[in-house]
Amino acid sequence: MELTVDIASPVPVYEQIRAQVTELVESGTLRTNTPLPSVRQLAADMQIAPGTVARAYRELEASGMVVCSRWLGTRVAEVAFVPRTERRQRLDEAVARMVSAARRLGAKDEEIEASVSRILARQSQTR
Amino acid sequence: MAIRLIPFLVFLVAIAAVGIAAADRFRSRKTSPPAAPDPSRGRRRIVRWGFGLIGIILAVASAFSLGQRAIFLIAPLAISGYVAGLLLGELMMPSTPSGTVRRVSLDRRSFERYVQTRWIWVWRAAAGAAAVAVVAAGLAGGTDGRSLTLACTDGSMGGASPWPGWSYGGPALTALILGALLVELSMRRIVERARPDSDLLSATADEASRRASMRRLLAAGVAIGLVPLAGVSLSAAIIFGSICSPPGTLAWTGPLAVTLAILGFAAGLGAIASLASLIRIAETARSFPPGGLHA
Repeated sequence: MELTVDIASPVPVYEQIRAQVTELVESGTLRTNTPLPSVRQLAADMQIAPGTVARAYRELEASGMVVCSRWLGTRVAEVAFVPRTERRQRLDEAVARMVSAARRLGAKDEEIEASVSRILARQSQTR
Repeated sequence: MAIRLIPFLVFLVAIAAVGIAAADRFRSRKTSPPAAPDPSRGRRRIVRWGFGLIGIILAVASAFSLGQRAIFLIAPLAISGYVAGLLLGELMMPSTPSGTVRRVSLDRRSFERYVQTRWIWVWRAAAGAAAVAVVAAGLAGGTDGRSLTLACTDGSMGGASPWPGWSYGGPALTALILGALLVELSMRRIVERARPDSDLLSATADEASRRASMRRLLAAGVAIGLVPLAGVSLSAAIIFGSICSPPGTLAWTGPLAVTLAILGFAAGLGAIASLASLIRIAETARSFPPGGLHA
C-alpha cells in the first residue's frame, strides 16, 4: 500500500495525504486498527516537514478516520457514527463517483446494477 | 575466596567467547547468502569501529585521569563510542529525494519489525538494573564514596573497601546515562530514517541494514548495562563476603554475597555474550520478519 504525493502540485501536500488515506479507509483497503507510519517516518520517506504529515493526521483524526495515541501510534479508527443526512450525502457522492467511472467505461444502467449486485453478493459471502 | 576467583573466570570466558564469535563470523561468511548490494556498508563499518576505537581511547584517557574511580566507567564509555559510530552511520545513509513526485509505503516501521521485542526489554532491564545497582551502592556507601561500614553482631563496627560507592559509581552512572541516551536515539533513527531511493539502495538491502543495525545496537546496549552491573555486583559481593569477621558475622551478609556473586557472574556472562555477538552480526539477506517487506 502506497501514498503518492506531488510536492509541485497546487494541492497542498497535507491535503494530498489526507485525501488518499481517506480514500484507502473508505474503500476498506486500510482496515480498522491498521497501524499507519509515524509522523517522522512518513515525513522522512517523503522528504517533507514533519509538521505537514502531522497536520494531515490531525485532520484525519478530526474527521474520525484515524485515532492517534501516544503509545500505539496512529491507527485506522473504528467506523464512526455519521449523522443520517450526512451519511446519505456521502453515500450518494461515493455512488456518483462509481457511476461516473462506470459510464467512462461505456457501461449501461443494467450492467452497472448487475455489477453492484455481484460485488454486494461477493462481499456478503466473505464477511 | 571463591568469590574472588569470579572476575578471572569472567575474563577467561570473555576470551573464549570472542574467539568462538570470530570463528563463527568467519564460518558464516562462507555459508550465508550475501546481502543485497549496499554501497555505503563499508564506510559505515569503518565509522562504527572508528568511533569504537575513539571510545576506547577516551576510556583509557579517563582511566589515566580518574585512576581507580574509572573502573566501572571504562566499558560503558568505550561501547558508547561504538554506538555513537553506529548512529553516525545511520545518519550517513543516503536519502536523496527522487523528483517532485514521492511514492512511499504505508507500512509502519517499528522496533519489533527488526528485532524481537524481548531484546528491547532485555536492554532496558539491563540499563535499569545497572542504574539501580549503582545508585543503591552509592546510597549504602560511606561519605568517602569508597567504603562500607556495618554494625557487626559483637558490637564492633565492620568496615571494608573498596566499596562501589559514589566515588566509582558516579562516573559509571554518567557513562551509563550517556550510553542509554545514545542507544535510544539510535533505535529511533534506525526505524525512522528515510527509505533510500531505490536506485541507490534496494528495499531488501535497506531492510537488511536496519535489521543488522538494530541487532548491533541492542547487543552494545545490553553490554553497556551489564558491564557496570557485573562490576558493582561482584565488588559488593566481595565486600559482603569479608565484612564483620567472626564472632561478629552478620547472618544476612553471606547469603547476600552469594546472591550478588551469582548476579554479577550472570551479568558478566551476558555482557560477554553481547560483546561477542557484536562481532558475529553480519548483514545478510536472511529471514525477514513476517509480513515485513512490502516497499
